Amino acid sequence: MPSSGTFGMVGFYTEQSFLDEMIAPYYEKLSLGEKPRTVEQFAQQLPPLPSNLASNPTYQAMYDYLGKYHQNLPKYRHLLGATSPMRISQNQIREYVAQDNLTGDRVHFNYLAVQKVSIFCTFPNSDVGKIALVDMPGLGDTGVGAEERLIELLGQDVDVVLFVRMPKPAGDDWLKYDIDLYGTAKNALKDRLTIDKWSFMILNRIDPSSGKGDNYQQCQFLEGRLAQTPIKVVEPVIIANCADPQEANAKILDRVLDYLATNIEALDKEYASSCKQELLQLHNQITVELDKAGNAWSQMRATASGSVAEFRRLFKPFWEEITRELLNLLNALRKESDTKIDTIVAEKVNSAIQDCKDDPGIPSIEEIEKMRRKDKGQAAYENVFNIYLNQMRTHLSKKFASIDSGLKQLIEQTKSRVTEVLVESGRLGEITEKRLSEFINLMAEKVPDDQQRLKSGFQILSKFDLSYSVLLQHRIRRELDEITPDKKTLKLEKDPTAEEVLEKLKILHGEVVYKCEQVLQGLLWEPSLAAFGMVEEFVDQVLLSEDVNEEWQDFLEQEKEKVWPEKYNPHNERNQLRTEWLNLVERANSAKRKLLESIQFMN
Amino acid sequence: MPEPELKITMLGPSGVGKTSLLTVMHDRFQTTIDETNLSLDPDLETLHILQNCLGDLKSLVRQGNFQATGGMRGTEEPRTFKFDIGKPGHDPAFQLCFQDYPGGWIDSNPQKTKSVLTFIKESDAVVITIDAPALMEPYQPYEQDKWKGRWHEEINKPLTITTLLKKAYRGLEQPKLVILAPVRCEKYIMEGNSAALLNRVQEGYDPLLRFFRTMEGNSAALLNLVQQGYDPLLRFFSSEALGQNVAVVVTPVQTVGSVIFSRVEVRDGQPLFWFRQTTNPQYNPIDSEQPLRYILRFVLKKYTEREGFWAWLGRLFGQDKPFEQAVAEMAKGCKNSDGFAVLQGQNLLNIR
Repeated sequence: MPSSGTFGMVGFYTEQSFLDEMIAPYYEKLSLGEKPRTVEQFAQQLPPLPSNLASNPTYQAMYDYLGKYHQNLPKYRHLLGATSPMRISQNQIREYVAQDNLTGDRVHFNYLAVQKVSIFCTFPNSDVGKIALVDMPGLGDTGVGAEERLIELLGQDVDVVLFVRMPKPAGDDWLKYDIDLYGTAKNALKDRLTIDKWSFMILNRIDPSSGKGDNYQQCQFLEGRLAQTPIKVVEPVIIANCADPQEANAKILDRVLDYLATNIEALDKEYASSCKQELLQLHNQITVELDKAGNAWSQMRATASGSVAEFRRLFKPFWEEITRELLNLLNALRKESDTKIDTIVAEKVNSAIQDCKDDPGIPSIEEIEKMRRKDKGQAAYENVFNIYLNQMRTHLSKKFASIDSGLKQLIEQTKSRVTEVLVESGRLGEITEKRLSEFINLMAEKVPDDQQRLKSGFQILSKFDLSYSVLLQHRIRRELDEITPDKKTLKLEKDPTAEEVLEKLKILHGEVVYKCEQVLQGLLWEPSLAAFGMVEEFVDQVLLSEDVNEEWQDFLEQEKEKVWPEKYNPHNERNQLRTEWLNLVERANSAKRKLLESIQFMN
Repeated sequence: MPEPELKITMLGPSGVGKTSLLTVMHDRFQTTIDETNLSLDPDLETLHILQNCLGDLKSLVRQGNFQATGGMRGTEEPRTFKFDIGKPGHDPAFQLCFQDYPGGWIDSNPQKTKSVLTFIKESDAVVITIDAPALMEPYQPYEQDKWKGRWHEEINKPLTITTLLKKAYRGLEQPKLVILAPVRCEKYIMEGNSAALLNRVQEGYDPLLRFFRTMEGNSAALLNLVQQGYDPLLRFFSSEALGQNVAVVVTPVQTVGSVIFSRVEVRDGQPLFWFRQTTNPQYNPIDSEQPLRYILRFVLKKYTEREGFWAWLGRLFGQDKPFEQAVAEMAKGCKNSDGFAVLQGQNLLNIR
């Protein structure tokens, strides 16, 4: 490989991460007692390996490995917390990544303080863009925890896995650790990458001329035996001399790149899809956990802060007051709907009627004549009469649509009256700054799902709406029959004139507006009745349905600091903590929602 | 010997259309003469008034759009309309005498009221002319589910009429017929709303009808009224003396036909009732003879079954069978559906 421009970037452990990630796992695994909290503590006498573990060679080997960290500490300690990443030249790379020098002497200890080394070099296949090779230390032969960290890396950063195995010239076979290694790698990739499509087995052939023996036969033997093992990789197995750059490029790299070039799209799709599934699962898990987190405070009953008895003493007058005042409101609304026409809607009706009268949309004699001459020659007056009747109908219809805003105002006003009772008598005003109908909307959202009746009451109120098109339009349309050409009872005389057309348009306009006014005046009770019905349903749900009293208690328990601040000081530490907690949960929820949006955009 | 006279009081406020009702009643009666073998001849003065009125009514039909009260002159003085009734070509058997009181008389000074009361007492029948559009329009709720025409009280004056009849029928000895005759009903009948009209008559004259019901001796109804805090004097009317003595009927009249109510316009706080033609306008009153049919039916029943002072009329019927039959035939044409109804006293109207 060309060496020009090759350099390394070394990342070191900090003292803390060194202790947490490298040393602590040994203490845990080997039951060495309290983990060292500082490097100084670690530098002191290493605790002995408990005798029950000392008999096991694996544990003994691990203990020895920890001993290596301990004994050589003075040789690498200065690197813990050193500026990272640190640039090193090509010829320094070995002393930061290897234990031994070129002659095989174990003289390097820097690697014990190294978290990660990235080596940058010019790559011969410049046409394939950037490729990063992650060279993993031989799995299984390092210390405790190293394997987990490597596996994690494998799962996160790796696109293709090359298993490299050098068969021993003297004779070899697939061994347990080969299968374990494959299994470990497979687990690390989880379901995201199907390892059989993303990994290659490379049998490293020893150059017979190297004097280290010839393993070609063993390479072929292992290749043949692979099918009988659980190891499944992209076929065929690659046999190449990894020490020979040319062979490495041609047999390994080109082969892998070709494979990727052919299959990358399908593989990527599969990968993305599995990622999406995984993300969705994760999202669901997060949802469950966040719900738990959000409810953690809600579920704390009165006993958690203040006594049950005290809460009950506070709740009783609340309940009496809110019941009395809501029933008073209901009675007032009932009386109003029985005896008084709602003024907001009445005003809108009156102004719509007045508008119909002020702006009748009736043509002048000249316009009638003009219309008659409009199309080829002269149209019959009857046709012109019908055209203007049609225009009159749509003209009037539009005017009445303005009543809609009156209906909306009435409902808004009625919801606001409920809010007033809840805020004034129910002391719920501190729960939110929102007022008018927005208060109701907020309550509909805020009341938790498990307070079903209470929530449903607020939802009914929140969603209730009245519109001209649903409530009144069809009744008005019926009254427009007299200005519907096919249905009218007033027709033109035998020899009509423009004057007659005009007079009859005026008669019919006056009559139809009058009829519509009658209908609307007659229906003026309806909006108030509907508003009353809306509140009655709300009151039924939130005051009279079964067990709703308990739901109120549950709800108020969560909000008691706001409802009774004099009893439950909102500034105490617990409450601040609670607020902070709930804010954090909300932030997490918001992040979660964004996550879901992103997931949905995948593929 | 002067021919016997039957008195009928026309009650109703100015301009409501009492004269018009008499005019079209007579006019429509004429068309049924051949069938019934009866004649109804107005005296000269009456004929003159009726002809003028008929001219006015016919000209209304030719107008496309008009206001009701502007079309006719309100009566200012009490007027008597006399009709001889009998077999065609014979001396009249008796005379029908309709007394029309101007609206102002009903609720003005005590002297005038007294004379109206006297005439009502002497009358066999009272025709209460009701302006149907005023009763119906604009039909607005004054309380939820309780509706009435906005101008009914003001124009038809049902309370004044109730008060008057309560006074007049105190100590009643003879059976009476009360006809509630809504006029200008074209729109409501044409639109198939005769049932609504009938309901509205009953609602609009509820106090009057309650009063009449007490006169039927319906003690349950009376008790109900008393319980509702009604005038305890009503107990008085439940006496046996008044029982079954008043027949009440409703006879909606389409005064000219083919002209229908269009809308009410309020100007300076006063209502203007606008009417308009329908397709193919022509003068064609409908059911306008019905009040007369009911009057004859009531008279026939009353006098063929009574003795004493009025027995002469009974004898007259008895002696002149063809005449009696002609009257009976006419009376049988009384309608009692589609807005027509006998509200009480059916027994006073049953004829053989």
